[in-house]
Amino acid sequence: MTDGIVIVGGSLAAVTAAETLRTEGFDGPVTIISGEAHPPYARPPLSKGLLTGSQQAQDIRLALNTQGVMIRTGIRATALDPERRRVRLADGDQVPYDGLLIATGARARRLTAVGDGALVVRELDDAFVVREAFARAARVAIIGGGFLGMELASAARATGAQVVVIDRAPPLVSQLGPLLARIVTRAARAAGVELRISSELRRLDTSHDGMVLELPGAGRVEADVTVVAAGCQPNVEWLQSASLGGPTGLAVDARCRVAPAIAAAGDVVLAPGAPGAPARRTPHWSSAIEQAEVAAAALVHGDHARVLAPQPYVWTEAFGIELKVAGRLPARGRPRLIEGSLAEPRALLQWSDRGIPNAAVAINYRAPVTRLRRLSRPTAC
Amino acid sequence: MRVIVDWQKCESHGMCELRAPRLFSVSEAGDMTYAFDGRDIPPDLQQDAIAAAAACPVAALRIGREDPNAAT
Repeated sequence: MTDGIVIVGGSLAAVTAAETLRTEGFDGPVTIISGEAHPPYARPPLSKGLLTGSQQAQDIRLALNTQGVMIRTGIRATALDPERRRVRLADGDQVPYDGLLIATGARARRLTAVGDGALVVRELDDAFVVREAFARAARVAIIGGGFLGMELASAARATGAQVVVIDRAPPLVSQLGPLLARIVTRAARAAGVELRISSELRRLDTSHDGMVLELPGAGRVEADVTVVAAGCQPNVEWLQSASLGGPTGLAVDARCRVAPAIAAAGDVVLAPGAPGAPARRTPHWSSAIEQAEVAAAALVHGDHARVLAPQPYVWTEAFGIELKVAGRLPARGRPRLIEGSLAEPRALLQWSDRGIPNAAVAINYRAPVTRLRRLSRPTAC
Repeated sequence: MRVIVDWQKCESHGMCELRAPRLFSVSEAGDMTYAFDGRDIPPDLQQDAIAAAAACPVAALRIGREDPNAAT
């Protein structure tokens, strides 16, 4: 057992897993192999502080504080041999392992209808490119009205650019539910951002100076800078030859295991859903941490490790609205106002289903995740 | 080992408290208190500190291994 544990991936799940391995008592070699050139960093600031310039690259580093972990950056894994327990790297090197943790994450989804010339924000270098592009642009188009798209729109608008957000459905409704979505979109409109809904999108020109998009039924959008924020796609291609993973992600069991001696965590993972619900990817900060802790423990303790018990938590900030949500999303129905006022808005809300709490949100309100979690669960008494 | 808190960055997400409740606590009002501010962390809490620093989504926590105020 001298090859130790190899972690493929170099972001939050990888760093959390490395640290958890030590906490769980693993003393052998731990190697992180990351395809990114930059050492591990946090992604959420890429569409927030890093874009607005309030944070610099060194502020968002994910320091690896655990002893004895080797990190190799700028090297992609290209294949996996589970029988021989080896990872093949792009330079032809074969890395043997006793245990493997897959944390290769996801990459920005691109749209064929838009093609080249649209930017994305997923990696650190993207954020610098987009920051510079927003500073120069008079007109910005954001394709995708989810958390990322709205955060990007907010950052773009703050530079003074004219901003249009384009989506197939009203922004944020599928993620947050109609009430919370409306709070953000109202703020976006008040800031002068245009929201356009269209089921289809066509690019009309190939001018390198910008883009003209035609939205059937919703007119035309001309932009100097276009950013696609249409979700992320799991990095599973390198696992194909090992017959692991599929286009929707890498499925794992209740302990985040894929196969004997292989576990997985983070944006690449298709985690088991609630009973009766399908497995799904949950590419969020808190999921990466939860899964990495369980996956690392499973590599060390096997069936004696605890199972994944997800406690969903997401947050977003755009157009002066900061939302922190614990529990089941999208939120549906009328919530109970616990504190504050929706008018400002500055409030703490709780959703329940047939009297049982299932979600809580802080809107521009200082409430820690522990409090939100308490409010999002049935109480003991 | 110490944890250096950047209080300006703290957004009261409370991930630190979740990972290391013996080191961090966040009040109902969202104010974070760090139990070892300015002091070394005992060995049995160091793994917690490392986990908490990694969990902070705004990178407000940094692990320092020396007393920043020590004369060199």
